[in-house]
Formats: sequence, C-alpha cells, structure tokens
Amino acid sequence: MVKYSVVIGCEVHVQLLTKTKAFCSCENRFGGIPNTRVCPVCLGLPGALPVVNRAMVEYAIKAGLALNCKVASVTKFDRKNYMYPDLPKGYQISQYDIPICYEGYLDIESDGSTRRVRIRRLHMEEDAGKNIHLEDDSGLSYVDFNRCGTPLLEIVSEPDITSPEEAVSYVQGLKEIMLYLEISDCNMEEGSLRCDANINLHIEEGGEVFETPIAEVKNMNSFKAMKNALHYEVERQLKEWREHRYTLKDFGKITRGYDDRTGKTILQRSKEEESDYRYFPEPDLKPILIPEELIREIRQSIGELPREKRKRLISEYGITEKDAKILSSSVALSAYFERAAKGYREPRKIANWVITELGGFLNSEGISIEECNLPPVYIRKLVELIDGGKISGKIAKDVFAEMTRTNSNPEEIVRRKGLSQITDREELQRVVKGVVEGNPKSVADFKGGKDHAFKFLMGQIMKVTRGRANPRIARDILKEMLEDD
Amino acid sequence: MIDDKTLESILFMSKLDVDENVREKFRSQIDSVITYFEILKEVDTESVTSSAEEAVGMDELRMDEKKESFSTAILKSFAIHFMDGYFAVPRIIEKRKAEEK
Repeated sequence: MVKYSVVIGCEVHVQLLTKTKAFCSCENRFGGIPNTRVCPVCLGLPGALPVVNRAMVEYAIKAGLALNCKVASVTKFDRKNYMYPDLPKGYQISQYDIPICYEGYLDIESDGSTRRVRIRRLHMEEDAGKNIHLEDDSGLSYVDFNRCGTPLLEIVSEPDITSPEEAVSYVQGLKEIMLYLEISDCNMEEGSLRCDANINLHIEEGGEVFETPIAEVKNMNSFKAMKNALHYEVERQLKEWREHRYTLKDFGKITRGYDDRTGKTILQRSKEEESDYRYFPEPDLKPILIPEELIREIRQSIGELPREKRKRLISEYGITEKDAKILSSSVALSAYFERAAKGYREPRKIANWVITELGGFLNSEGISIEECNLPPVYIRKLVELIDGGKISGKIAKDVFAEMTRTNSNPEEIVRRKGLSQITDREELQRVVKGVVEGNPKSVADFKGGKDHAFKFLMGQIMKVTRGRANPRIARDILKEMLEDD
Repeated sequence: MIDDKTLESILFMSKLDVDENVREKFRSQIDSVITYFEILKEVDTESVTSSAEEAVGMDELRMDEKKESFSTAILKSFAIHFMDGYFAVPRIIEKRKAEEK
C-alpha cells in the first residue's frame, strides 16, 4: 500500500466580458462569422500599435480584490514569444514579472470544512485565435482570428489543492465570483473559463518523500471532465511510480491532454521552460500606474461576495443552503429576494416562490431578473394571501400567472376575479352536501373501503368552487358527512 | 560551443529544419551569435533608462468603445489562401514529439 498525498495547482483562464478586445477596438464576443472582428492590431500587421483597454484593467483589479489579492501600484505588459498559426504576431501580450494582482486566496468548502487556497498571481493577457483541422487531403489548417486579442485573466493558484474534488470546488468558487462580479460569463463549453491543472503525488516511502513528475492536464471542458481527468491522473502516476519509480528529477514538466471520450489523459509534449518563451517587456505599451483612489472605488463597488452573502442569507432568513446558493448567485436576484422577504415571518416561503415560480417565469420568457418588472412586494403579498388563508396554493399559482401578465397587485387580482378562498363553514357545507348527493356511487365506493373515492369527491368540491374551497375545512366537512351518512 | 540540447531547442523554437551535413556549420554560426550576445551583456546599461519605464495613468488608456473591424474583402487581399472566411495555412503538425521514458 503506497502512502501518498495529491498536490494540485490550477491555472485558470477567464475571458472578460468587455465590449472590445484587450488592445484594439474590435468587438469582443464569442463565435460569429470567422474573421469578421479583426483589425491591424489583433492581426499583428506591421506598424500597428496596441492600446490598453481601460475596462480590462478595471475588471482585473475587481477580480483581484474579490480574491483577496494585493494590487500592484505599477503594472506592465510583457511579450511571451512562441510560434503558432493562431498567434499572428509571434508573441502573446501577457504579464510576466509584475502581474496586476498577487498574493490572494480563495476559501473553499471541502468535506464539510473550509480550506484556503492561496492565489499566487492574477494577470492580464490576450487570447489567441482558433485553428480548425479538417481530416482532408488539402494539407491545410484553417484559422479564425476573431478570438485573437480577447482579454483574459490568468489566475494561478499555489499548489494547495489536495484532491480532484477540491480542484473542482476551487474552480467553481472562482466561477461563482466572476459571475457575481459580472466580468465573465464563465462558459466552460465555449472556452470562456478554462482550467489547466498541475498535478503530482508526494509519495512517502522508507522515511523519504518522493515527488512524481508534474503533469499539466489540459482540455478539461467541464467540471465533470476535470474531476475524471484528475482522478485518472492520480491513478496513472501511481502506476508509473510502481512500475518505473520516476520522480520529478527524472522528467521536466509534461503536458497531458484529457480525452473525454476515453476518460484518459494523453501525453502531448514536454513542457516548455520559462526561458523558451523569451519574455521581455512589451516595448509598445508603457507601464500603468494604478492609483489608490481607483482601488478604493473598485473595492467599494464589489460589496458582499457570494460566499459571505450565502452565510448571511442562511442566518438572517433561515433559508436552506441550497436556496441560499441559488439566490446568492446574482446580485440582482438576492436583492430581489431580500426586498420581498425583509421583515416577513416566513422568508423560506418567499425564497421558494422567487426561486421556483419567478425563476420558472424568467426562464420561460428568456429574460433576466434585471429585466423583470414585477415588484418584489407583490411576491410577498401573494405569500401573505396564502398564509392568511385567503387563497389556496393552487389558486396562488393562477394569481401569480395573472400578476406576471398584467403586472398587477395580487390582492387586486383576487378581489377582481373573486378568487378568495371559501372558509365559511355553512357555505362549504352546502357545496359538500350537493357533491355527496350528486355522486352516490363514489359515496358507496368510499363506504366499501375504496379510499380513492374520497379524493374524487374532494376533487368535485374543488371543481364546483373553482378551487376556492379551503381544503382543510372542506375535507373535515366531507369526512363528517360520509361518517354520519 | 553550444551542446546538442540547446541546438535542438533553438531549432525547435525557430521552426528550422537543418540537414545533418550542415548541422555542425549551423551549430558554429549559432554559437557565434550567442557569443556576440555575451559581448553585448558587458555593456553597462545601468544608467540608461528606457522610455518604456515612464508609466502612464489610467486616463491614458483606451475607453471600451467598439470601432469598425476589417472587411472580408480587405482580408482576402492579404491572404494567399482564404477559404470560406478562414485563413488557410500549412497543416500544423507538432514536430517535436515528447517521448515517454
């Protein structure tokens, strides 16, 4: 039995949702007709000069502060040189020795406890274009430069992650923050959130610790793929250790690509050394001064982060962890919920209506909570009507549908449509009597031991009252009548 | 003289393929270039400040406003092979295959 620990560090690339690219004014968005968003700068044509997008710098500071990083007072760009057809300049504008943010951390949940993953650095860089390889006889590859120059953040963690599950939890935590800050859409399938993981094992044997060669695992396009790829890599490295006893000293770092189809990682190439990239300061861009005042302003604009918000929503409103997670995923959604629930004695019910009914409505309409005109107080009034016994839960759904259609106050809808619940005992007795007399076969069935007949009779009562009968009172009366009969 | 590993690395990064019969000639040429850089290193640049060291403020950065990109017609005129909106380039093959030990 080999005793070992897993050591993982993550490099996460996040595409920023700026309107334009990092160093030119071409539109920044995913997909579209190839090569329609390119210009001399992002194509690297001779003489073209890059100009830094201010929004990219501000987004980077925002992300860094949310990840508890220090922000450099002066930052600069560097050239990372490598040749590939998707990089027309022959170099990528990145940051080398003075990243904009550094020394941060992200707390994650792991096995019911909190673990801190340190963040070494967060820097800005540009994305490359996309190559398309067809299996034909042309001997050609095809290049789309639309993505070239898309602003990216690269977030590099320390190797503090100790399992594939923790790695997933870390990247999910980053995603949650980026979405909350509204600086990226973090769509893994479209590549706007990409994670490479450096993984190796520390094996204890004979009082010594041996480190297996570090594999940089790429091409993990979903959280599931990430978990599977890293589990595979743990097993592969263990097997390699048992068979060959290779250590970090025997190998340089290697790159392995994950194949989702086979569930395996495949050796791609031995990893470039840093010196292979021949980093040097970008001569076309001057260093940037980051004023304290700007950092303060951005810090203030961030407000409460999802994790803190989640904890507060649970303690302040007594809602479930699951509901708190959904509500804290967006600033607008949590604000909506809080406006509806503030001061109400049963906030859980309001959370349920916001998540299930309102969420369902937004989905079906294809609109966001920001675009929803329904005042939060209407949700609260609706829940009050149910809790006060004025309407049933079933009628409430109809009222909600009317609310979203007409943007009206639920009390007004109930009044106008005569939807208030019938709680008057005498009135209900008349209804129940009529149903019992009109359905002798069901009454006989019930008396013969067929319980479903009771449900049928209740259904008839609801049908006659158009769902307005108070179900508890109606049930009691029906029971009494059937027993007395 | 540079060793085999360094020579291989330089050839890989320069995307160069050198025939065996001129390999040694090439090695000595590369070596002389590198040696020349060793001479350049001796130049005292301590007191020389680069214009790039003058930092700019945030106000000098570009506002996030979209402008027109190139038209397809212009792009076509740049490219030797342009097909269905894509630039066509010689097929990319990873030349240096890493070997599993």
